[in-house]
Amino acid sequence: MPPTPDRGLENLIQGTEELIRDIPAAVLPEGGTSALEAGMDEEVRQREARSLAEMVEPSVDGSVQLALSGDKMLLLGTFFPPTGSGKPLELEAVRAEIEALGVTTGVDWEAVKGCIQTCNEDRSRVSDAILARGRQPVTEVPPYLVVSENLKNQEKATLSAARVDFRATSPFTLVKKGEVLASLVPAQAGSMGITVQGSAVAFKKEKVAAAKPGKNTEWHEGSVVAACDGRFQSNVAGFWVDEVLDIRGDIDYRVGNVDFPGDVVIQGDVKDGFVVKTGRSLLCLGAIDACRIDCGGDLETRQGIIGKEKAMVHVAGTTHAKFLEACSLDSEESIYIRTSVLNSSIYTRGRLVMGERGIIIGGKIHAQNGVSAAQVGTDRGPKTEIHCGVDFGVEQRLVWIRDRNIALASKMTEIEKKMRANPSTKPVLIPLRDRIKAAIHQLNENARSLVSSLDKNEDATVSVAGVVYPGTYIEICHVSCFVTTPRRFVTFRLDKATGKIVERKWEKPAADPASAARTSA
Amino acid sequence: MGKRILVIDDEEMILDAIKIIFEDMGYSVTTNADPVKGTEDALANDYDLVLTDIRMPARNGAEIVETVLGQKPATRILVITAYPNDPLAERAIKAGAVGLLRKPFEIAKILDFLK
Repeated sequence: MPPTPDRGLENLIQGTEELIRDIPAAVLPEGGTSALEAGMDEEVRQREARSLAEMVEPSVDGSVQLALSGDKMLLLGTFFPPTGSGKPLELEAVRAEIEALGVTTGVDWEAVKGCIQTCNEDRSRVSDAILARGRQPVTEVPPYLVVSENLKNQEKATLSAARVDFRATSPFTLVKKGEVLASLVPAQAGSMGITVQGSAVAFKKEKVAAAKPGKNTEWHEGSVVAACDGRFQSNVAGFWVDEVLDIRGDIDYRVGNVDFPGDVVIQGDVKDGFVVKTGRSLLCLGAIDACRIDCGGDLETRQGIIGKEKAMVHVAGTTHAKFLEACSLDSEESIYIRTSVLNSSIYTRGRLVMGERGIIIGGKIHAQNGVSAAQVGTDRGPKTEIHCGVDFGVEQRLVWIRDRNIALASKMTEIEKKMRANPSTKPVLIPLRDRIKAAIHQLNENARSLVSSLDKNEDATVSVAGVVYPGTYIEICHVSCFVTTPRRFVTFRLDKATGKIVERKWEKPAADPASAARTSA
Repeated sequence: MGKRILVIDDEEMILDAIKIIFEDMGYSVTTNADPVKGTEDALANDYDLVLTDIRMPARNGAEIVETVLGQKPATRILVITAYPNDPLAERAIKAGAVGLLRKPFEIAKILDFLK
């Protein structure tokens, strides 16, 4: 038996389909206004419009989402504007949200109000606005020293320069006594922090790897200064000043010229063309080539000076060397040479002391207190000049005066010749001549004064334990003597009674024992 | 009157310079560019100091020293030379010259021998 049909439903469906089918024919004539639409009243239209708007943008109230940073130091808020006919966001609602999160500290209410206003009026979202800040703890830092910037990166001249004289560059950082090496950064006290939820945060204590002052440094008004002139050195442990500059190699293009206020040790040679200036002593374990040395103390070279007729060596103290060859050396105090002095110009206010077999061949020796040697000259070699008894420094100043005087005298002669040839020039030339005369007179006064103070040593001797060869010229206190035949085992000295140089049997000169020991070593 | 100096040198410039400088110091300076006449002057007059160049035409300094000291051995003569090792200088010293002056001259030495 077939199921009984639901007649009511069938009738409803059929009736609805007929209604729908009949509507266009009945109410929508072609090109005319809808009678149905025209019949709607205003209220219906508004209801329809609202209904359509809600289909596009639903009505949602303004809201805020809050979040705390991981360390609880920040409260962040994202504000959502109301939509549709939703209610605007209220300050009280936000306050309630903030309180609900337990945030009690550092809330920036002005920022909150600004966000709410932007959100409501502009209907725009405000993201991740900082609404509250906690206070970070301040780390405690002990006082510490910072090395001066100018001492940190002193390096050789860069290649960017068009021309670099690497002889004039130096890898050493030199400081003067009293120069600031490091300054003290004062201590920073620590303080507690607090989160936006009001919890206290402990501060840390920082450990600073501070530079520690070392030798030859001292405190001065909150800074560490150099206690002496010297070389600034530093490492991870600290910094200090070395009075001794130790150069582990040669003085060459790698090192450059040296100008050091203290003692200098050179483990190698001083190469041609370089300049070494020291405030104090210089020890060179190698040889000194054709270079310039200005030594403020004693000079010792374990080898010798190979000057190639270019080396200029000035020593404020004593000089010790194995040999000297073709160099110019002036030493305020005595000079001790173990083996030989060849074709050199030597000046000393002390004595030139050669080793037990030390020989002098050629050149000029000016030694105020005399010379000791095993041999002077050779049978065929260059002649040797030895000048003793007078201060070479005074003599050099007198030479300067003489040269100026000769130039002035030459001018004066010229002027007088002109006046003789043309007497009408006298009014002009006489005053000039008189000025020259006055200048000559002034120079002569200086010369007289120097001569009267000339510290002469009439006891200076030239002692030769071996042979003095013919051709050797010896002068003691301006008295001259030529050696014309080989002389052996002899001492030349000035006979004050006759004013002549006389020969005596060789006498061992008195010498500083320490220096003598080093010379014969 | 200051002490008397005789200078024998064929270089006029040196003569002029020595004369001007040492006269300013109060010495009486006679110069002679001719070595022969200079020798005669040294023999004819008493000088406290004679300075003579070593290498000159007509007569060298060593000969002057030998001639003058041969007749007036008390004369103090300084020889002017460019090189102390000049054999003529050596000869002059051997003949009795008291010392050598390095050219053009040495003030300290001259003053030393005028004391």
